[in-house]
Amino acid sequence: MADIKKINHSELVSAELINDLRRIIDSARSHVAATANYELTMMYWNIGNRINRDDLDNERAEYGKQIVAQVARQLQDEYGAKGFDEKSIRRMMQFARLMPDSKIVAQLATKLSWSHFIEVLPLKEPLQREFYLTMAATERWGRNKLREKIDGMLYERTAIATKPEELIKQELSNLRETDTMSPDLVFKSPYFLEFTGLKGMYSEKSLEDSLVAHLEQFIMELGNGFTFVERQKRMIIDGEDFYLDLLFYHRKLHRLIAIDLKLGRFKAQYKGQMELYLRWLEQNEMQPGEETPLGLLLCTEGSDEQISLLQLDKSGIRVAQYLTELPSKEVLLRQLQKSLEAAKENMPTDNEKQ
Amino acid sequence: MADIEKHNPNNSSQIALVAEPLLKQLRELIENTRQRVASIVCDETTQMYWNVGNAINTFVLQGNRAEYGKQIVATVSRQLAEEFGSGFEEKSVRRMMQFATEYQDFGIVATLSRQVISA
Repeated sequence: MADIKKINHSELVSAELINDLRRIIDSARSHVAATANYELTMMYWNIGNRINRDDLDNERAEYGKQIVAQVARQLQDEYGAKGFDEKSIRRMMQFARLMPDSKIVAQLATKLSWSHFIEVLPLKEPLQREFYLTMAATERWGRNKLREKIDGMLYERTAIATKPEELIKQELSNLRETDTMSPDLVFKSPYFLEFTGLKGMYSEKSLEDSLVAHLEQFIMELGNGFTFVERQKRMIIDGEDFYLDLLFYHRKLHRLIAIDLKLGRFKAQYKGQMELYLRWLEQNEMQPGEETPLGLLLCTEGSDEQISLLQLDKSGIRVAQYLTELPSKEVLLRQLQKSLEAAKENMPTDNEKQ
Repeated sequence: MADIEKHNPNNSSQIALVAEPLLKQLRELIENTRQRVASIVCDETTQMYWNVGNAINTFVLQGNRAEYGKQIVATVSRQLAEEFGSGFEEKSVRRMMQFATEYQDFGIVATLSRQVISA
């Protein structure tokens, strides 16, 4: 008996046991939360869809309004005021109307909560909504992060937005169903680097220093899957020293990403330099199972005609603009919409391709 | 037409009548969802209790710790209650261990709990 008293009781229970128990409980709780979220969202969709079927928003507007009001009143009576007030019922109707594909909603509902869906309802374009929800589900954004991304016009800045609608739908579907990410979903332009605090004149070195100093924010802006590998990567080619500004690895794309920082506009000769880096990386750094490295040239300004003439995408190179000082949101949005329209106009039609 | 509807004293009962079939289907939707959620939550909880009980049982049996079973349960319950709140006091944890012991074959438990819910 005395022996037992001497033993420190907390030593009896190993950290391993507590960790196992923690894992069991956390896992069960998140399963329950995911289920509850899924069922709730699908229920709201089904309610909205069922009411929409009666077409109450149509010609006899006053009549339809009264029916919806009556439905809300009854449901609130029977199921409680929370969630079934008239505003919420109308939101369910809007939800089902704006996202008519229940299969897509079901895929998203397993990973998102109702508050995520509410966040995207005010957006104008269906693909915009689908993009934000899919990215939020894949990258596990909370509601607040989703709101930030929408405020930051992520969709308009992402390369996928310049592509044809069918392609966008396809890429998003692939991402949801097989968790494969395409570079078009990863890369964007312009990148917001205002966290560097750089204004006016600055050197490439200051920019690089600042990005590395604020690495966490830089990666948040680059996107979730990026991991930092090295800065000033030294490559010896024909006895000469070359230095790549920043080397990253993207976990979902499974490829190295070479980032070169340039002050000023894009110049055609940047292409040759980046190609050299990429081929060297392919030969000397690329691991088995990885895809070929991609290059990202960050410039303060693009040169659209040169860029399209050089067919950079064939070499796995992308050019993106970066901003260290952000203009007002309205100005930004207008610029983005203009370049989106321009990009779509320049897209080859089916006849021109091949 | 709209004016007549507005001033018609029988309007509210007309509305109620028309809305009733719609309401019936919505009620069904809501009830089904609730039942499904309750069933899944129950399954998950049951399985969690079994897993927790089983993990502790295994730990106690390994490495000659059987004599210290009581202290182990007390320590574990304290830590779990601290992190996860109520539902993990000593008494409950003991019941989870007993549950895992008595239903060694977890397959039985999983089917049983589903049958109980639908009854």
